[in-house]
Amino acid sequence: MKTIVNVLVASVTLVLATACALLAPYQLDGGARRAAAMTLETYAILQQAVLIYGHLPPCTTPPEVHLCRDQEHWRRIRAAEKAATEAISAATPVLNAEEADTGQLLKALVAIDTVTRALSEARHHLTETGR
Amino acid sequence: MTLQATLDLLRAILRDVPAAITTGRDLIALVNQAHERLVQATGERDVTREDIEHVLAAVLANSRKIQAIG
Repeated sequence: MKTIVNVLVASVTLVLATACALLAPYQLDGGARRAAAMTLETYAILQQAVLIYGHLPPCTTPPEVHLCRDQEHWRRIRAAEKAATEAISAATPVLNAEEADTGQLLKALVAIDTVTRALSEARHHLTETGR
Repeated sequence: MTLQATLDLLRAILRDVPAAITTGRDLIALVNQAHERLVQATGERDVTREDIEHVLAAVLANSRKIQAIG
């Protein structure tokens, strides 16, 4: 399970970095729309990694299971995920060319990055503690 | 790193996952499916409004599942 979470997060981070770079000009031509679609698809994969972590049993003291979900990390991940999904929803009219971009895309990308970092921290905690 | 190089690397990483685990076959199928969708999203065909709406619906559904976990 640890391998799955590690690979998912590492893969998503890699693709997300590329997608963010492609979206940097924030001009929604055909290429940018593909990058935007890829970013959303990548975020959907990231959410699967979040779900995997979320379905781990909560950590207890003393530890009862080898892999567990740290509640503080999980609280941060959930909060970041909620904010990211809201930011993506707010950016959808821009992606659909219904509204001009007034910062919605950047906000969504930053919010997605926050989720990635929160999950990465949880992953490092798994690695460091061996839980 | 070009987009294609990134996708090639992602493909290589995901290819190694089945050998690294002993359970979670369904999860791997999910990852592979997600990877295919990523490739499609970065293909040459134009991304339509329906594509965006479709993936947004998936994101919202996933978010509901995540937020439902206590």
